[in-house]
Amino acid sequence: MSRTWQVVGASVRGTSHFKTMIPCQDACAYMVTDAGILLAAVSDGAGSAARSDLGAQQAVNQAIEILFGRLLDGRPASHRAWGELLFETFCETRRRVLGLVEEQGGQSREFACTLTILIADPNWLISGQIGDGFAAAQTADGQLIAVAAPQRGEYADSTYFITADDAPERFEGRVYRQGRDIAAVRSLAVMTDGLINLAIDKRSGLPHQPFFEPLMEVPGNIRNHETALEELYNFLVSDRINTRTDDDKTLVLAGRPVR
Amino acid sequence: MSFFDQAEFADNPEPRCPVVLCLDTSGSMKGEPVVQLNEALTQFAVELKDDALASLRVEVAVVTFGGAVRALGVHADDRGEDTGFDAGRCFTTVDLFAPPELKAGGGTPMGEAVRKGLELLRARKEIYKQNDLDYFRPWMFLITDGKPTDQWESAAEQARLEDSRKGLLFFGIGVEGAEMETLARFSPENRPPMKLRGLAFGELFQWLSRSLSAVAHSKVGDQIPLPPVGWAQVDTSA
Repeated sequence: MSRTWQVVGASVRGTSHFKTMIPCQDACAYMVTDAGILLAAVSDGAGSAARSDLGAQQAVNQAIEILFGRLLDGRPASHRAWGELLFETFCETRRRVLGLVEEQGGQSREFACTLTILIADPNWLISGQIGDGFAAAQTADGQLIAVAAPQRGEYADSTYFITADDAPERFEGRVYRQGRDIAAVRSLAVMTDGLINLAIDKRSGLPHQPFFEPLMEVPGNIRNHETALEELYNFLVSDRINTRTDDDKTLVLAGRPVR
Repeated sequence: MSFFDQAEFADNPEPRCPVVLCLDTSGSMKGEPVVQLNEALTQFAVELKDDALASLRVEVAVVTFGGAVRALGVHADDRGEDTGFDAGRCFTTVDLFAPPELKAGGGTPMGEAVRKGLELLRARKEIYKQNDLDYFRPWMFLITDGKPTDQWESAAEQARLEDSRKGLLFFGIGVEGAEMETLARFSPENRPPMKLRGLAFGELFQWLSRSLSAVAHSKVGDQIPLPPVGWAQVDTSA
């Protein structure tokens, strides 16, 4: 069976975290199901929350596990059905993050983290978000589209977290039918806040083309996953990036294979 | 060249953290206190400039109250000049911050200074919004060694209100001789005014520069743990 998606992703610790001995509070998880559906999740643990690294890992792992289980019985066939599946996945993920809090003891805000989810098959593209992650799609005609936009409070350092009481109301989902709502998708990128200043033109809120155009070529051309992972990791820890951001950063790239 | 090497970055301006220093320069600050304060301000600039990111993000304005209330220029071009409370002019990012030399004399119009400081912060936020600049929660520092000689009650109320709706972070600092009960009326309940140990302005401003570094490096989450306070007098009477 030909592979529908190729994917590579990594989370790395920011330089400010090295200095202060704080662990990497970002996490990511991704897979392509046997039915050819891409599942990806990224999370940014709040810098001021003591155990947000655990929250972030729990959030991405559970989100993927829940989606995987739900999609074993077939996939939704309408915008509405996808929207329901997405929201239920979010609520169940949230319950499991709060379950971890209970298990570990402590307060839920110590585990505060964001969550951005992407689901894609050849016909659908779905994004879900709480917090300040970002996701972009490149369609077959080369256009770049923001498919999940960062949620910000008034201040640069404030956003929304999955652990908050009002998280279900803050959660934003988008369902696109490829070939109808948008052209067919060839590549996808999803990232945490750490890379956003490099990836979005703040004034317009649009994906920065010179950033995304080369990166969107990466996943479709993956020949060996190990090598791709190493290249991505080297990119994320490069001086070029570290002089621009001292935060943790996560990038997951997915694309239809280039023949 | 790999695809990763070809990726170019967006050139976005840094988010800003505006800070208003409301400094008492009334007659009672004459002599050693104002000398120490000036020295501390110079050292504050040196330390924050060492932090490359903070020096691009933290913007400082200096409002003095001694006789008259003034917003002094803090840029090399207008250092120490009266800027006429022009919010476009009286804030300078730390990389360009040139501390004015303060002189003491006159009464203590503290209420007016706080009122003007709050106006400056509001106007500065508007400028950020117009220019699509992200910003952090503003800071206001009120340092005094006396008690207000003007109508201060409504200004105190405004400062408390603004702090409680998270419009700013207010810090009240009393130097020897300050009326702490009055300072408490400006301060939010969860952040009561602190009393400076002797004339430890140096340590106070060192703490401020470290705290602002912590804020400038923060990304997510609204509670930044501030470094421990070493400059305050410990109250052992309670």
